[in-house]
This record gives sequence, C-alpha cells and structure tokens, in this order.
Amino acid sequence: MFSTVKERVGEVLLPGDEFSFEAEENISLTAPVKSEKVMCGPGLRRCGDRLVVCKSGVLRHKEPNVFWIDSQQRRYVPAKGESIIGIVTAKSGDVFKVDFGGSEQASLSYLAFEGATKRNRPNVQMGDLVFAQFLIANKDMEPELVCIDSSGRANGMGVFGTGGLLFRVSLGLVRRLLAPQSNIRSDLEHLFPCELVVGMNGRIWVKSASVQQTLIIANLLQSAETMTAQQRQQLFRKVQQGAF
Amino acid sequence: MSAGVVKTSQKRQLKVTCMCPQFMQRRLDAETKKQLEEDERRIISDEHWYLDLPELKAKENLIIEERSFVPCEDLKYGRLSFRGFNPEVEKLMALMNPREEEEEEEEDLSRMQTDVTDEEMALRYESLVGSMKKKFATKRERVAQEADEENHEAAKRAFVKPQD
Repeated sequence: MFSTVKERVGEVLLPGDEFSFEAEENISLTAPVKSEKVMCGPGLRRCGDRLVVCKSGVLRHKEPNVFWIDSQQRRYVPAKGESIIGIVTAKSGDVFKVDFGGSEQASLSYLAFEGATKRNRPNVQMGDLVFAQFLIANKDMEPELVCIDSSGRANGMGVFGTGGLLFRVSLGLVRRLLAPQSNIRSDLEHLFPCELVVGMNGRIWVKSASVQQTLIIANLLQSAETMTAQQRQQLFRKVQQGAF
Repeated sequence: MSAGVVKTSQKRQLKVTCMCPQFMQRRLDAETKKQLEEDERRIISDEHWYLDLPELKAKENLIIEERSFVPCEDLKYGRLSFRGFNPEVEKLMALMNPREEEEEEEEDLSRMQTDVTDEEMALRYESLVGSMKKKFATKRERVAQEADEENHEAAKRAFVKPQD
C-alpha cells in the first residue's frame, strides 16, 4: 500500500479516494517482510484497513513515511500540540475562557502558566492575547489550552505584547510563513525591525517601531496571500525604497 | 499443677489459633487465603458459563493518524522577531527552532578554533612523552640513558683529520 500511495504523490485527490492494502505480487523469500507504517496527516483518514481521503487537495510526502493533503481553508479546526493566539473572553472561577476562532471556546486553567500556584495567580485580564498550545483537541471534548510545556516551562507562551495589531489571514499563509524555508519570512527580515506572533489558527499579531510601519506590515501580509512570488517581491522592494 | 496437661508420645498438631491468635490480626494469613481461593474456584468452575471463542488479538495498525500540520511540514516556532526588535524572542527562536543548521555552524566554529593542526599536536606529543618519561626515570635508568647518549655523541665527535 505504501507504494500505491507513493505513486500518487503530487496528484490532486478528491474526498472519497481510497488506498487499500493489496497483497504484494512478488514476495521475496530472502528479504525480511517488513510491515511499513504509514503516517497519515491532515486530510487523510483511516477507515478500518483503508486509507481514505477526506479533503480535496494535493497529496504531499515527507521521508520516510508521512503523507498528507495540502489544502486551503480559513476556518481553523483545533489539533493537539498546535500553538495559537487566543483572546481571553471570560474568567469563571479557576478557568479562563479563550476564543480562538473555532466552533466553541477553549478553557485555560489558571494553573497552566509558568510559576502559577493557588496563591500566586497569573495576571490575565479579559481581552488579553495569549499564545498557548492545545492540550486536548478532539471533536468529542471541549478544547483545552495550556501555556506551559510538559516540563513546566513557558517557552515564550502566555500573555504577550502591549500594543501591536492583531489580524486574520488564511491558514495556508500561516503555514507558508512558518515553513522551514520561507521566502515571505526572508523578505520581511530585510524590511523593518519588527516582532511577529503567528498562531496556527490564522491570527497574526504584529508590532513595529511606529504605527505606520505596523500597518504597512499588516497590509503586506494580507495581500501576500493572493500574489505570486514576483509580485510580492516587487511590492516589498517598493516599500523598502519608500521606507522611512 | 499438673491438672490438665498430659504429655503424650504422639505428636500433636497445634491448633491454628495457638500459632496466630486471630484477635490481633485484621487480615487473613497468606496460607488461609490460598486455601479459601482454591475452595472457591473448585465450587465455581463447574457452574460458570464461558464463551468458547479463540482469543482476539488486536490487529497491528499500520496506519497512524496525525491531525496537525506541524510535524508534517516541520513548521517553525510561532514567535518571530526581526532585526533585534525583541531580543528575548530572538533567543527563544534560537532555542525552539529545530537545530539542524545550528549544529553545522557549531562544527565549523570548533574547527576554526583549533589553531594548532592535528599533525602538530601529534608531533608535540611524541616529544612530550619522552620528556615526561625522563622526569620519572629512576637513577639507574638515567645513568643508562646518559651512557647511551655519550656513545652516540662519541660516534659523532670522532675527529677527522684535515687532509692537506
């Protein structure tokens, strides 16, 4: 099955396409029979013994055995381990309710911050922006966020930034920004000194030296979604030349 | 005095109560527990019904599901800072991002820092071993060494008469 899936890497697949286990035609007697595990990422699902496509997009592959469907969407579906930007909407007892743009609000316990104890409560107000990651995120339970990792360290998570601007982009742009070799990120680097927080739920927070620069960067990022690489580079160069 | 006690030649089995008085123990003894369990099992085995099915083995799943894009595309850390706007975030970026490129840089740096090449180090160590050995040599060894050196030097110093 591994080979049948690998053949179709780079093709456009539609929901309903299946990959099933087939008996190998030539079983070599000398080589050991390895059962190869296939790791299916977003867009692919396991149905019994078969691998079923559930989103339309291009099939991608990463060594050694990871496959996923590359698709675009604007609505975020929470997944465990992803870090997002949330807005604190309510404080009820020991738990904060955080809105992250999903179908329901996530809960964030006040003990899930670095150095928080029952006596020493974190300084979180309504309307604050938090950078947190999902502890529980499935379709059967209420999503839960934490601002520490498994060893208890914050690692940059928690309430951040005064000032700056928060805006929404599509999930595809977020992935392009955070990719290992990202042209957009290298273009931004040469522009202004600035600080960005990128949440996987399609929210980006920008802060720069002046309000004007902040607005310029926000506009650039929002328009970079629909531009080709050349157009984007032209635009960045224009901004750089007219930069103040 | 000897009213009730009669010693018989036969061995008597002491009652269990004499060995471990029940009034001080809250739990059953290990032995009594085992006996009780066996009795229960003997009573139960004939009466209980059971399914005569083969054991179900969990099938080895060859497909692992992963819901997030982060491990698939190797996405980087979400907080970014450019040109030193926020030095703390830049430190975090260096810490949290996958360290492949940084390891390569570290190797290059360590190579540059060795000003002395490996060959020079090997040569130096050859002579070092000799000089350290001399330091810890006993008197007899020292005398023997000096004799050797004189012999060698004597061979070199042999005077050659100039031929007129």
